[in-house]
Amino acid sequence: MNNQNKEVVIRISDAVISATTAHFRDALKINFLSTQQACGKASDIIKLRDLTTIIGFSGPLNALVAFSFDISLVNTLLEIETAGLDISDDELVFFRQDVIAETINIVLGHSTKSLAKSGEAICLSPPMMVEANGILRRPKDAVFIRVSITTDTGIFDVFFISPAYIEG
Amino acid sequence: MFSLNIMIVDDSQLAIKKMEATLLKLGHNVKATATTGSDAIHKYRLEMPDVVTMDITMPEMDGIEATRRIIVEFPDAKIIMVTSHGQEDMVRQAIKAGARGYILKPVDAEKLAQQIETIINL
Repeated sequence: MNNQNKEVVIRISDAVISATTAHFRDALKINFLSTQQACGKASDIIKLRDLTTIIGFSGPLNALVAFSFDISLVNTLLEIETAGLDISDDELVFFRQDVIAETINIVLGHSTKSLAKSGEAICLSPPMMVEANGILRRPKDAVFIRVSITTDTGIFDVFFISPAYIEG
Repeated sequence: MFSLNIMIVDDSQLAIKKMEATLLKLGHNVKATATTGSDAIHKYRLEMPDVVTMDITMPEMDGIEATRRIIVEFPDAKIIMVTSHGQEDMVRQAIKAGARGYILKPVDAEKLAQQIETIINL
Protein backbone atom coordinates (compact mmCIF):
# COMPACT_ATOMS: atom_id res chain seq x y z
CA MET A 1 0.00 0.00 0.00
CA ASN A 2 1.43 3.39 -0.88
CA ASN A 3 1.76 6.15 1.69
CA GLN A 4 -1.27 8.05 0.40
CA ASN A 5 -3.55 5.02 0.83
CA LYS A 6 -2.02 4.29 4.20
CA GLU A 7 -2.89 7.82 5.35
CA VAL A 8 -6.48 7.40 4.11
CA VAL A 9 -6.90 4.14 6.04
CA ILE A 10 -5.51 5.74 9.18
CA ARG A 11 -7.85 8.74 8.80
CA ILE A 12 -10.85 6.41 8.30
CA SER A 13 -9.93 4.25 11.28
CA ASP A 14 -9.33 7.32 13.48
CA ALA A 15 -12.70 8.79 12.47
CA VAL A 16 -14.55 5.51 13.15
CA ILE A 17 -12.90 4.92 16.53
CA SER A 18 -13.44 8.53 17.57
CA ALA A 19 -17.17 8.40 16.63
CA THR A 20 -17.54 5.02 18.35
CA THR A 21 -15.94 6.32 21.55
CA ALA A 22 -18.15 9.42 21.56
CA HIS A 23 -21.39 7.50 20.93
CA PHE A 24 -20.70 4.83 23.54
CA ARG A 25 -19.60 7.38 26.15
CA ASP A 26 -22.17 10.15 25.56
CA ALA A 27 -25.32 8.44 24.27
CA LEU A 28 -25.03 4.94 25.71
CA LYS A 29 -23.11 5.82 28.90
CA ILE A 30 -20.71 2.90 28.38
CA ASN A 31 -17.14 3.65 29.37
CA PHE A 32 -14.06 2.45 27.53
CA LEU A 33 -11.52 1.01 29.96
CA SER A 34 -8.76 0.34 27.44
CA THR A 35 -8.06 0.34 23.71
CA GLN A 36 -5.43 -1.79 22.01
CA GLN A 37 -4.44 -1.44 18.38
CA ALA A 38 -2.63 -3.95 16.18
CA CYS A 39 -1.65 -3.03 12.67
CA GLY A 40 0.12 -4.91 9.91
CA LYS A 41 0.22 -8.38 8.44
CA ALA A 42 0.65 -10.02 11.80
CA SER A 43 -2.20 -12.49 11.54
CA ASP A 44 -3.88 -14.46 8.79
CA ILE A 45 -7.20 -14.75 10.58
CA ILE A 46 -9.72 -12.61 12.40
CA LYS A 47 -11.41 -14.38 15.29
CA LEU A 48 -14.98 -13.20 15.47
CA ARG A 49 -16.78 -12.67 18.74
CA ASP A 50 -20.45 -13.58 19.32
CA LEU A 51 -22.10 -11.05 17.00
CA THR A 52 -20.38 -9.26 14.13
CA THR A 53 -21.49 -6.73 11.58
CA ILE A 54 -19.47 -6.09 8.42
CA ILE A 55 -19.87 -2.95 6.30
CA GLY A 56 -18.19 -1.99 3.04
CA PHE A 57 -16.60 1.48 2.69
CA SER A 58 -16.15 3.01 -0.73
CA GLY A 59 -14.65 6.38 -1.55
CA PRO A 60 -11.00 7.41 -1.54
CA LEU A 61 -10.23 3.80 -0.69
CA ASN A 62 -12.38 0.67 -0.74
CA ALA A 63 -12.24 -1.23 2.52
CA LEU A 64 -14.30 -3.29 4.92
CA VAL A 65 -14.96 -2.46 8.54
CA ALA A 66 -16.22 -5.10 10.96
CA PHE A 67 -17.47 -4.62 14.52
CA SER A 68 -17.40 -7.82 16.56
CA PHE A 69 -19.08 -7.89 19.96
CA ASP A 70 -19.07 -10.05 23.07
CA ILE A 71 -22.58 -11.23 23.87
CA SER A 72 -22.43 -9.49 27.28
CA LEU A 73 -21.95 -6.15 25.53
CA VAL A 74 -24.71 -6.91 23.01
CA ASN A 75 -27.06 -7.64 25.90
CA THR A 76 -26.10 -4.37 27.60
CA LEU A 77 -26.78 -2.43 24.40
CA LEU A 78 -30.07 -4.27 24.03
CA GLU A 79 -31.05 -3.38 27.58
CA ILE A 80 -30.22 0.30 27.02
CA GLU A 81 -31.92 0.58 23.64
CA THR A 82 -35.11 -1.23 24.62
CA ALA A 83 -35.57 0.44 28.01
CA GLY A 84 -39.17 1.58 28.36
CA LEU A 85 -40.32 -0.23 25.21
CA ASP A 86 -43.14 -2.78 25.23
CA ILE A 87 -41.00 -5.85 24.48
CA SER A 88 -41.25 -9.12 26.40
CA ASP A 89 -38.12 -10.97 27.59
CA ASP A 90 -38.85 -13.74 25.06
CA GLU A 91 -38.88 -11.24 22.22
CA LEU A 92 -35.62 -9.52 23.18
CA VAL A 93 -33.40 -12.05 21.43
CA PHE A 94 -34.97 -11.10 18.08
CA PHE A 95 -33.74 -7.51 18.50
CA ARG A 96 -30.05 -8.36 18.97
CA GLN A 97 -29.12 -7.86 15.33
CA ASP A 98 -31.26 -4.72 15.09
CA VAL A 99 -29.61 -3.10 18.09
CA ILE A 100 -26.13 -3.67 16.66
CA ALA A 101 -27.17 -2.52 13.17
CA GLU A 102 -28.71 0.68 14.58
CA THR A 103 -25.71 1.43 16.81
CA ILE A 104 -23.21 0.95 14.00
CA ASN A 105 -25.40 2.91 11.58
CA ILE A 106 -25.22 5.92 13.91
CA VAL A 107 -21.49 5.54 14.58
CA LEU A 108 -20.56 5.22 10.91
CA GLY A 109 -22.91 8.07 10.02
CA HIS A 110 -20.95 10.34 12.35
CA SER A 111 -17.65 9.02 10.95
CA THR A 112 -18.58 9.65 7.33
CA LYS A 113 -19.80 13.13 8.26
CA SER A 114 -16.44 14.00 9.82
CA LEU A 115 -14.58 12.50 6.84
CA ALA A 116 -16.79 14.42 4.41
CA LYS A 117 -15.71 17.65 6.12
CA SER A 118 -12.15 16.86 5.07
CA GLY A 119 -13.35 16.27 1.50
CA GLU A 120 -13.47 12.48 1.66
CA ALA A 121 -16.99 11.40 0.71
CA ILE A 122 -17.59 7.83 1.84
CA CYS A 123 -20.39 5.48 0.79
CA LEU A 124 -21.41 2.61 3.04
CA SER A 125 -22.87 -0.75 2.06
CA PRO A 126 -25.81 -2.23 3.98
CA PRO A 127 -24.52 -4.16 7.02
CA MET A 128 -24.01 -7.92 6.91
CA MET A 129 -24.51 -9.73 10.22
CA VAL A 130 -22.61 -12.81 11.37
CA GLU A 131 -23.91 -14.49 14.52
CA ALA A 132 -21.20 -17.03 15.40
CA ASN A 133 -17.69 -17.31 16.82
CA GLY A 134 -16.18 -17.99 13.41
CA ILE A 135 -13.03 -16.78 11.73
CA LEU A 136 -12.33 -14.67 8.67
CA ARG A 137 -9.24 -15.57 6.67
CA ARG A 138 -7.07 -12.77 5.35
CA PRO A 139 -7.31 -12.47 1.57
CA LYS A 140 -4.01 -12.29 -0.31
CA ASP A 141 -2.46 -8.82 -0.14
CA ALA A 142 -5.00 -7.56 2.38
CA VAL A 143 -4.29 -6.41 5.87
CA PHE A 144 -6.22 -6.44 9.09
CA ILE A 145 -6.04 -3.49 11.42
CA ARG A 146 -7.58 -4.46 14.72
CA VAL A 147 -8.66 -2.16 17.51
CA SER A 148 -9.78 -4.07 20.62
CA ILE A 149 -11.89 -2.05 22.99
CA THR A 150 -12.59 -3.13 26.55
CA THR A 151 -15.64 -1.52 28.09
CA ASP A 152 -17.07 -1.84 31.58
CA THR A 153 -19.58 -4.41 30.23
CA GLY A 154 -17.66 -6.43 27.64
CA ILE A 155 -15.16 -6.36 24.80
CA PHE A 156 -15.54 -5.56 21.13
CA ASP A 157 -13.14 -5.42 18.21
CA VAL A 158 -13.20 -3.09 15.26
CA PHE A 159 -11.41 -4.50 12.19
CA PHE A 160 -10.40 -2.52 9.14
CA ILE A 161 -9.67 -4.77 6.19
CA SER A 162 -7.85 -2.87 3.49
CA PRO A 163 -6.91 -4.09 0.04
CA ALA A 164 -3.15 -4.08 0.37
CA TYR A 165 -0.88 -4.32 3.31
CA ILE A 166 0.55 -1.64 5.50
CA GLU A 167 4.00 -2.09 6.91
CA GLY A 168 5.18 -0.35 10.02
CA MET B 1 -51.22 19.87 18.92
CA PHE B 2 -54.01 17.49 17.93
CA SER B 3 -53.48 13.77 17.50
CA LEU B 4 -52.34 12.62 14.07
CA ASN B 5 -52.43 9.22 12.37
CA ILE B 6 -48.85 8.32 11.51
CA MET B 7 -47.25 5.51 9.50
CA ILE B 8 -43.72 4.36 10.44
CA VAL B 9 -41.53 2.90 7.68
CA ASP B 10 -38.27 1.22 8.73
CA ASP B 11 -36.63 -2.13 8.06
CA SER B 12 -35.55 -2.37 11.71
CA GLN B 13 -38.22 -3.67 14.09
CA LEU B 14 -36.33 -2.03 16.94
CA ALA B 15 -36.39 1.35 15.19
CA ILE B 16 -40.14 0.92 14.63
CA LYS B 17 -40.71 0.12 18.31
CA LYS B 18 -38.67 3.16 19.40
CA MET B 19 -40.40 5.52 16.98
CA GLU B 20 -43.81 4.12 18.00
CA ALA B 21 -43.07 4.76 21.69
CA THR B 22 -41.95 8.32 20.91
CA LEU B 23 -45.01 9.10 18.79
CA LEU B 24 -47.37 7.69 21.41
CA LYS B 25 -45.71 9.86 24.05
CA LEU B 26 -46.28 12.86 21.78
CA GLY B 27 -49.97 11.96 21.69
CA HIS B 28 -50.18 10.60 18.14
CA ASN B 29 -51.61 7.32 16.82
CA VAL B 30 -49.51 4.81 14.91
CA LYS B 31 -51.86 3.92 12.08
CA ALA B 32 -49.54 1.48 10.30
CA THR B 33 -45.99 0.23 10.07
CA ALA B 34 -44.04 -1.01 7.03
CA THR B 35 -40.60 -2.58 6.67
CA THR B 36 -39.94 -2.06 2.95
CA GLY B 37 -40.57 0.71 0.43
CA SER B 38 -43.12 -1.34 -1.52
CA ASP B 39 -44.95 -2.27 1.68
CA ALA B 40 -45.05 1.46 2.54
CA ILE B 41 -46.72 2.36 -0.77
CA HIS B 42 -49.29 -0.41 -0.35
CA LYS B 43 -50.11 0.60 3.23
CA TYR B 44 -50.23 4.31 2.37
CA ARG B 45 -53.00 3.59 -0.14
CA LEU B 46 -54.92 1.57 2.44
CA GLU B 47 -54.48 3.77 5.51
CA MET B 48 -53.95 7.30 4.13
CA PRO B 49 -51.96 8.44 7.19
CA ASP B 50 -51.59 12.15 8.04
CA VAL B 51 -47.80 11.82 8.27
CA VAL B 52 -45.19 9.19 7.33
CA THR B 53 -41.79 8.73 8.99
CA MET B 54 -39.60 7.09 6.34
CA ASP B 55 -36.22 5.42 6.84
CA ILE B 56 -33.87 5.91 3.88
CA THR B 57 -31.90 2.67 3.70
CA MET B 58 -34.15 -0.35 3.25
CA PRO B 59 -34.00 -3.57 1.23
CA GLU B 60 -35.94 -4.07 -2.04
CA MET B 61 -37.00 -0.45 -2.44
CA ASP B 62 -35.35 2.35 -0.45
CA GLY B 63 -37.10 5.25 1.26
CA ILE B 64 -36.26 7.73 -1.50
CA GLU B 65 -37.92 5.66 -4.23
CA ALA B 66 -40.91 4.89 -1.98
CA THR B 67 -41.30 8.63 -1.29
CA ARG B 68 -41.09 9.43 -4.99
CA ARG B 69 -43.83 6.89 -5.81
CA ILE B 70 -46.13 7.95 -2.95
CA ILE B 71 -45.82 11.61 -3.98
CA VAL B 72 -46.62 10.81 -7.63
CA GLU B 73 -49.85 9.18 -6.49
CA PHE B 74 -50.58 11.45 -3.50
CA PRO B 75 -48.91 14.87 -4.03
CA ASP B 76 -50.07 16.14 -0.63
CA ALA B 77 -48.47 13.27 1.30
CA LYS B 78 -46.45 14.53 4.26
CA ILE B 79 -43.29 12.48 4.57
CA ILE B 80 -40.43 13.00 7.04
CA MET B 81 -37.19 11.18 6.25
CA VAL B 82 -35.42 9.50 9.18
CA THR B 83 -31.71 9.39 8.55
CA SER B 84 -28.24 9.17 10.06
CA HIS B 85 -25.47 11.72 9.87
CA GLY B 86 -23.45 11.26 6.72
CA GLN B 87 -26.49 10.65 4.50
CA GLU B 88 -26.93 14.32 3.54
CA ASP B 89 -26.76 13.55 -0.17
CA MET B 90 -29.55 11.01 0.21
CA VAL B 91 -31.60 13.53 2.19
CA ARG B 92 -31.25 16.00 -0.69
CA GLN B 93 -32.50 13.32 -3.08
CA ALA B 94 -35.43 12.56 -0.78
CA ILE B 95 -36.41 16.25 -0.53
CA LYS B 96 -36.22 16.44 -4.33
CA ALA B 97 -38.48 13.36 -4.44
CA GLY B 98 -41.07 15.17 -2.33
CA ALA B 99 -40.22 14.60 1.32
CA ARG B 100 -41.19 17.62 3.47
CA GLY B 101 -38.42 17.33 6.05
CA TYR B 102 -35.97 15.07 7.82
CA ILE B 103 -34.86 14.07 11.29
CA LEU B 104 -31.59 12.54 12.42
CA LYS B 105 -31.13 9.28 14.32
CA PRO B 106 -31.11 8.83 17.28
CA VAL B 107 -34.51 10.53 17.14
CA ASP B 108 -35.06 13.28 19.68
CA ALA B 109 -38.75 13.53 20.72
CA GLU B 110 -38.76 17.33 20.87
CA LYS B 111 -37.20 17.71 17.42
CA LEU B 112 -39.63 15.14 16.00
CA ALA B 113 -42.59 17.06 17.47
CA GLN B 114 -41.29 20.30 15.90
CA GLN B 115 -40.75 18.61 12.55
CA ILE B 116 -44.29 17.15 12.55
CA GLU B 117 -45.80 20.51 13.49
CA THR B 118 -43.82 22.26 10.75
CA ILE B 119 -44.88 19.93 7.96
CA ILE B 120 -48.51 19.83 9.07
CA ASN B 121 -48.62 23.64 8.86
CA LEU B 122 -46.89 23.85 5.47
